[in-house]
Amino acid sequence: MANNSSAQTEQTRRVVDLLAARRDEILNLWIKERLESDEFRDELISKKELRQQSQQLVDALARSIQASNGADFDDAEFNELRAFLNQISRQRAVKGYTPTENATYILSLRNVVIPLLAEELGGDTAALVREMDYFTRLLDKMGLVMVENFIRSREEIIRQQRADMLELSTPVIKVWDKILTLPIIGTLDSRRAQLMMEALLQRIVESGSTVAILDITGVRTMDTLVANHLLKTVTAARLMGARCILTGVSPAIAQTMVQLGIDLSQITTRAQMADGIKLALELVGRTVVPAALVAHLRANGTAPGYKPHEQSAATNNADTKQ
Amino acid sequence: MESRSIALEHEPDIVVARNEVRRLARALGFSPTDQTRLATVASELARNVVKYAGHGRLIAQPITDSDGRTGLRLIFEDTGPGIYDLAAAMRDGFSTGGGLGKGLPGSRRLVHEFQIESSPERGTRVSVVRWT
Repeated sequence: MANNSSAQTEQTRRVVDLLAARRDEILNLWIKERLESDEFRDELISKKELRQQSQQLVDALARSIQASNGADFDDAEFNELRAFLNQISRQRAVKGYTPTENATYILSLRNVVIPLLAEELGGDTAALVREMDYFTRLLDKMGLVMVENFIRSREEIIRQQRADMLELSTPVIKVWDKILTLPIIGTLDSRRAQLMMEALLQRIVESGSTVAILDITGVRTMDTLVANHLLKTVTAARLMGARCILTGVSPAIAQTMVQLGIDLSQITTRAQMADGIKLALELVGRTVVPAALVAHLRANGTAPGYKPHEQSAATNNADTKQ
Repeated sequence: MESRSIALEHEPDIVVARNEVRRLARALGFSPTDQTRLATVASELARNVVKYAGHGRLIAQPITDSDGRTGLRLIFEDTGPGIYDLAAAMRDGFSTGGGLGKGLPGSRRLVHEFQIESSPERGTRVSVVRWT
């Protein structure tokens, strides 16, 4: 066993020696290789930045191999290198690199180091194979870390974008004095439902509203979680003295709700938003009547503020006298 | 038509699962109400995976029976802690997560076939089928 570990130290010293002794040469060759490849995009990274990154990477790699006595990438001594890889792959994800470009950057170091290693080791084929095997395995692991973290970073960006959109998509609209509407569109997950409830309750207080219409015409799927959120919102609004009306329940959602066994009977519902608005107006003591009827009433002198100058009013007046 | 497999880890994956199942159901000729039923089942069961196991997947398989009838099978599997009391979990109103307790029993009512297996060693596997 002791023999084995000393042999490992012996073989890995060669790569470390090479990385240390011919560091600048390796760096120059590597950067030249990168700049000449089709993948170099100077709009994304400056030559100076590329050089700096590559230098830090080679140094960290040499340090890790040295400190770990030539262990594999899983060794704790590689944590610094791993952290550095995570950092640059995140930067690259933000800049819009592809996963392939990201991995190729690391893997291309092999094209530079292997020929130099062969040169260094001369005719010792056994040593060359061992060193190559070790170094290639390290680079493969590093490339995978780059790709994995790159994808994770992209996912983070997407999640962030999604969160940003959520903030915008919970409008509470005042349709009339004391009446609010909340058109719910798309997906109602926990976070969005929470935001929606907060926005609604806040507006109820600010506007002194007593009726809120929750319209789910734009909701395609209502599961038990969404139903639960709606019930909680309705209860909370009621505690604040406002009544909720649920509108826009599609036939498909209605049937699904019944089969799921969700009891929404404590919520007042109307098929369409228009019916909801009509009910809401009644609840605040108002009603919508045809303009002609109002004119008719005025013409008969039953409403205050009558001024007999409209033609339609005059016609109506004549009609009623018959 | 090919099966689809969807990773279930975060809340947005539930939305992906739901939309994918709806798309498949529509392509297989399910009625709009059935599409909603299947999407709702996908939503319920995918949420269970994300909420209680944290990691798992949904496999959606279009199937045909001996009479040539088309169906959609949805398999939800995870390697989570399993369901401690399966009989209780299948009862209406039972919830350990503060929900309405309608997810599992409600889902069963929305499909034609419903199988559930759960153990602390192997996690939970729910397989459902709805025919056109």
